[in-house]
Amino acid sequence: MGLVEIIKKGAFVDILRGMSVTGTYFVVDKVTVEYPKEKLQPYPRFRGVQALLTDPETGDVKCVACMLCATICPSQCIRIVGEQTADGRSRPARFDLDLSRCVFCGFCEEVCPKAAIVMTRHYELATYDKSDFQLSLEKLVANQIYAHKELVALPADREEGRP
Amino acid sequence: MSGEQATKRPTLEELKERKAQTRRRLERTGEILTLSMGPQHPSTHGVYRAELDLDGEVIVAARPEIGNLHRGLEKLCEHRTYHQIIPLTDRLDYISGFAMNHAFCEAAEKLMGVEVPPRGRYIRTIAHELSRIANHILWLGVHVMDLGTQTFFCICFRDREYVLDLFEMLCGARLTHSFARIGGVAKDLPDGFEHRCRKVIDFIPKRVAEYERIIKHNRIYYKRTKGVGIFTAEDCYAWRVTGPPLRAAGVARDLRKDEPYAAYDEVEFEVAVEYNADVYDRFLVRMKEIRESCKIIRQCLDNLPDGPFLAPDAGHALPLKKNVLRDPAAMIQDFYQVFYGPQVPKGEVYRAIEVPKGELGVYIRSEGGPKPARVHFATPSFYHAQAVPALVEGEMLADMVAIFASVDIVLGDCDR
Amino acid sequence: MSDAIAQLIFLIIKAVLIPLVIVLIVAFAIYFERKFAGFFQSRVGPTYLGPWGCLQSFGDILKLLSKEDVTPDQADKPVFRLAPYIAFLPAFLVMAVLPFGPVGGEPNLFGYRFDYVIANFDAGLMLFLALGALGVYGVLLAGWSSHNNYSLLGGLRAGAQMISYELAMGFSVVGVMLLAGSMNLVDIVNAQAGNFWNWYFIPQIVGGLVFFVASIAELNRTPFDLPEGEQELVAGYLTEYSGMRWGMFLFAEYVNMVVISAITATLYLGGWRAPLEVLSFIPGPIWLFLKICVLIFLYMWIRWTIFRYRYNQLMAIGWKVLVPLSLANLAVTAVVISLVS
Repeated sequence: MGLVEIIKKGAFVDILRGMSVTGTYFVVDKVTVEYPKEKLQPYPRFRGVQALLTDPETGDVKCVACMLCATICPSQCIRIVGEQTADGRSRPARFDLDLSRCVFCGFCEEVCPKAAIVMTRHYELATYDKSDFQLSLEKLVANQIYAHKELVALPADREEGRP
Repeated sequence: MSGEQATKRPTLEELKERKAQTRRRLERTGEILTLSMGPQHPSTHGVYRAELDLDGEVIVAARPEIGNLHRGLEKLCEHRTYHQIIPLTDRLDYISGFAMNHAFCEAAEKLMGVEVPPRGRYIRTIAHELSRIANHILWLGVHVMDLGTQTFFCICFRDREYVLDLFEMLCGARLTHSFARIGGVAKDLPDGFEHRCRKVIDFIPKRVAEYERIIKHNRIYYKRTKGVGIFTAEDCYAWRVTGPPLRAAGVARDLRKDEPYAAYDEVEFEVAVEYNADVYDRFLVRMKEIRESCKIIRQCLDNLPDGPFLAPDAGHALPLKKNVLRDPAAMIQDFYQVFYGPQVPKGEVYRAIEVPKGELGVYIRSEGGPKPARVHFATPSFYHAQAVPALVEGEMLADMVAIFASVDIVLGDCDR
Repeated sequence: MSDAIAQLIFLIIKAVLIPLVIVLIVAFAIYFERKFAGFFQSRVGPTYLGPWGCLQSFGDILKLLSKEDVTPDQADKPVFRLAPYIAFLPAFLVMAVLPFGPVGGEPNLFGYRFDYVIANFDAGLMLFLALGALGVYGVLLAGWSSHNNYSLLGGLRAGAQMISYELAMGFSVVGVMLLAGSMNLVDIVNAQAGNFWNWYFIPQIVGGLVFFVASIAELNRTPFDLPEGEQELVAGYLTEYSGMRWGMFLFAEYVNMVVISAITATLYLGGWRAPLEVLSFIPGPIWLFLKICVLIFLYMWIRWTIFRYRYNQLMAIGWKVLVPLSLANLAVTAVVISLVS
């Protein structure tokens, strides 16, 4: 070991180098987002809780109970019971989504031919009551407020399904 | 202890001799203390149990026990169509989720004979390399935390956030991506992704340089990792250890170069190889791999071809959403793929790709239906976990933690 | 009132006030540790309780007091319960001989002399070394009495480590003793009178560095915190301690840290003396407090940057590097003093 090496070792040069980096972290801006007070807005494609969209013209859900989402779901968390309305339209009588089984993969949104079920950006789903995880048709329709306004437009205006 | 390593490469005999020196510690006979590094431990990466026989500080024997995270993934795959298996593969190595999706899709496409369009291949490459960067940064944080400082753990997670933000922008989830589809990828690159991605890959190598500044020449890191956990190329072949530990032992095997897939034969990059086969070299290999990944992503972004990102293959792939909303043929394809599944010929296929942890081989056997008859994932962590006794016998207890971290085991990958 | 009664009153006031101040400093040191840990890691530390989270330690104390006391069935219960106290009491006792202001001289308080030290003890330095050795018992007994392999390993490692590094500490302080000519801490501080270039860290630079490094090992802090190496041994000798018992060990560690910082400041940085003569209107205790704060910050900075040494490397450093260095320092100091005088 040369003299330079001995001096460098004795003066703790490498350790001081490391300490200088942590020292700079000490004074620069911190990256923490203090959660309940400040919240981050997820990106547009974020897969949060689902919502069923309603058709602004008829006021009823766009869903036609085709069962595509229930079939593709890898966790089998969607149960749909369909019915025929008086004017010959199909609609779901029951649409139960078990959020405790859902893995938020987004496949239901991807296969829906009517763009009726979408994944919103709402992720604050913690609750004290397990029955809150059994989402019914009404709750899913109520989740619309979390969906993008663009998604509520008619299918003809929509491109990819996501901005 | 000089700053840079001497450029003379050690030969296999030299490495074996260095390893034999640690083995000589096993010849002492003292009282054996059995310690269970149990499933709940701050530094086994998941629920891994190792029963260690200690003689003082030296580990005389190690008996690993895995299976605490077994979720029956391969059995679940037999009851789902090929499209539905993709979210399951996310949960294999959950740290580099896209790489697992990619592996399964490559194998399924080989079986079904689907060709991925160029844009889809390039996007897959970009996402795969991003997950490689995320994986290696997390590896660094965990490895250094195991050695003593929590600061780097937090710093590495901070840097990983940038990559995870890119994934959130791309596919909607930070960790369980489910982004690859049979025939391509699920969605195109969103607006603003390219700009942001370039910023991130300009910034990551500077961070890596900062990490190296702190760690690479640090005397304590040097002492704790140089010459520790030597695993020569012969041992790697014997135990099927692949990936960074193999490349740190001097073998330039990287499936991205040897059996190219996605867009790897159209980009230029170097394979990171080191020759001393110890923990320090595995660190160097992974840092170099992060830099090479940034290079690959930059080339892919520069040369991104236009065109479809998902194969317009009615028999095997899901249709594009915008077509489903307008085109009756696409709607029929949608219904067919969901209610029946892809048309798969009878046969079996094995395809291995280079995921961040090593070599992941996917074996699919099909009896002709939409659901596979058998899927097997030959995951790197499983073989690395098997190799742990061979790695740590003769080493000291404190080294066990360093070595265990350097072979990068994730229990989701190991237990499936 | 006679002088003896006045001195008695002052003694009682000091004996009550100083431990209280130490306890408060420790509570805030724990808070600052977490806050600085956050800052070094590019995140904010605790922010919830109180402005900037400064009441976090008190919240932690309440939480620890409300936890269940789990004592292992086969542990040696009396020893198990006694060990935390053995760990921190010696440190408190050292504060009795540490001067935190001028001692001796004119009456300065209501016509009586208020000495800024509890006991002007002639062998103060020896007391410090002896009590430091006693602190090892706490750790060893904790590890042994827990009836747990991990704790045993941690306790043994800690014991061996602390004893080895005490040697290096002892030899380096002999250098200071030679320079000052006395073992009394009051005299050592008085011998550093003048400006900061009269302080002993300059002639004793090697000894000072050795003492600093050895003190990190005494405190079981990174890079020498293998006994409580979280990653290898879960929590080392602390594994079986829960609730407030664990709180007592933490408290012991921080009291040790404050006391050793105070001793380092006294021996090498001039104790309660101001760095420049012109600034000596600021009272002595404030300067000592500032020096303790700087040293504690240094300990924390090192802790949150560096890795830990493996055990055999740790012992190698203690015996093969620090002890010879401190002996060499001692020899050189002795030779230089005998030549000069």
